[in-house]
Amino acid sequence: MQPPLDPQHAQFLRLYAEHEAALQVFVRSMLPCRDETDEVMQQVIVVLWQKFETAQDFKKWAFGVARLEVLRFLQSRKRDRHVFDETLVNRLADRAVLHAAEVMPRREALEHCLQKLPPSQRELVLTAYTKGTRMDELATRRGQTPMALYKLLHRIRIALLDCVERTLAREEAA
Amino acid sequence: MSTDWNDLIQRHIAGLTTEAEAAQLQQALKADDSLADLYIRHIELDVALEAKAASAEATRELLTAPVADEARRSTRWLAWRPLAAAAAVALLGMAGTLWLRTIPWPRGASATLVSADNARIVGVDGELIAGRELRLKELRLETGRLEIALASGARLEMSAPVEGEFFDDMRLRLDSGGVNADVGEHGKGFTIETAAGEIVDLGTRFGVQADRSGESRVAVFSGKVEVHSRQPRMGGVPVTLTEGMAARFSAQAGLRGWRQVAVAAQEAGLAAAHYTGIVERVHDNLGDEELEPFYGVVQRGMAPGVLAFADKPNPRWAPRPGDEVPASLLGADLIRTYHQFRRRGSYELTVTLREPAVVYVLIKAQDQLPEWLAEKFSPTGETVIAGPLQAGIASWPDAILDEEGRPYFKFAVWKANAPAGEFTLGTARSAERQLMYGLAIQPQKMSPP
Repeated sequence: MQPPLDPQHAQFLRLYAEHEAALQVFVRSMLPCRDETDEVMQQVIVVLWQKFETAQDFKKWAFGVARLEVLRFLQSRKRDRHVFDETLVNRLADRAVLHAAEVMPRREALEHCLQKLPPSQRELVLTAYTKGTRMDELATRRGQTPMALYKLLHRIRIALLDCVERTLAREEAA
Repeated sequence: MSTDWNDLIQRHIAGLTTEAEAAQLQQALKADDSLADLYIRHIELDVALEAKAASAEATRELLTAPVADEARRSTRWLAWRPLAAAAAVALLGMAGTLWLRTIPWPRGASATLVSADNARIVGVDGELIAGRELRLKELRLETGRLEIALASGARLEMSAPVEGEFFDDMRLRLDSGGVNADVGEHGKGFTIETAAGEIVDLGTRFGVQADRSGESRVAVFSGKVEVHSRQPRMGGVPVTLTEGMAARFSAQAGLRGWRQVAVAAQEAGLAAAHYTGIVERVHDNLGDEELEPFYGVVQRGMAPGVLAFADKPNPRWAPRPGDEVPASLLGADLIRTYHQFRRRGSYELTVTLREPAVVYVLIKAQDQLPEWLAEKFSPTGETVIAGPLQAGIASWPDAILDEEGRPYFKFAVWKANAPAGEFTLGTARSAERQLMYGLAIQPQKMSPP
């Protein structure tokens, strides 16, 4: 059996776990690429843990730390056309904070919506989002062109977005 | 031409936009908050799907890792089947050829007779007495009941008429009739093949009934199985059935509804699984045609460590060493509810009882509880622990954390005497931090005074 965590460590884990999903969305909204998000998130966790003692309002503080780490990272990526300018990055970050409380309800609604997809589409979308999956290889395996696969995935994504909105609206109305 | 913002956002996230498109998107996002919110929605969806895919991948690894060598060979082959299917479509352009594979040559199985009752197997002469060694290839049980133990460790029970063929100690093709399998630890990967598909055992007790018409029914009494339907639209994607689930499937219709295992098993004529409990039917009022949930009813299933909900691999009731299920609940018929419905304000769950019963609701102990609960039920003063739940709610003030920081919660036990017929419960939603409730049913005569 593992030894019990010290109270500070346990408290950090609890708070981080509670806000992890929203933090990921926040960082991702400022960064164009999944791998870069992972890289920055690792750095964010290290900083959060190192400075945890100084935190008063964990959520506000954690989002602030994440914003600084992303902006620092973006300094080295200025010329990439997929990186927005700093004004827009900060604006998107503000919108992400505004919607942070909706992240978990939306995930639960998505779970419900995934179950409503035909099994073959559900399997396809999860395969496409599995780390390491290459779209061109997946398309070849399916006997499709990459563009046909992209269009199919686009339709599935739009259906999922619509379903999530409808599900949340129904729950609100209930 | 108007811009398809969904498409542009998606392509930008995927790194596929041109410099001009990226600039156009940047300008539009700066000017329109609602477009910025749509951008965030796409990001949320991406992050959530990545998390879900990672979780599904981890589950797949978990399911395949402990399986015996024979099963692993089978699983690896099955993982390639969608590709074989895709190749078949590309080469032949015929959806009907999706089930493309090399059929193993039947070699037969070695078995020990466990028990027989008036049994007659075509081609097997002499007295069928317990302990007799048998070599079975073609299987035709004309009369009676038979129980055999295969060399692989799987035990099979069947009642006439049954027809099929053993490929080896790990694989049976069932043409018609019903077979109950208890594969034990060493028989993981044992496969029953029918006209409708394959059922691959992952360490369990299950029953299969195959019809000459091509339809098969499977019910899982404990553990889990993978069902590989031959229906082309399933695309070779296996469906995992866990304890308390049942399904019908055929090559034409694919997998059809889940039913509570006991009722389905009874309908399927699975002799060892007759449900003699008091729950006739469980249904809700959600009326979602695309997703009809089926509530797992496990007869006398309430015990420490059993799954609490039908749609989650966790939590379990009384999961940790030392956690106890109150005596009043032990051995009760367990109904697995759907955790995802906990926030549906209009939700109603109706249990149809064959006879008067005591209905127990297990609900997270907290100040605010649903009004219908206090109206129909009374608290027993007993509690049961459920967990672990998702790490995201570990900071709830009433969470009990284990050494890994995973949250558990105390559920209060409420009870009501219910007459035979329909008995309806309401929504779990009563406060922000509420979980779905669990259900257990005891016959009134078995309840403590």
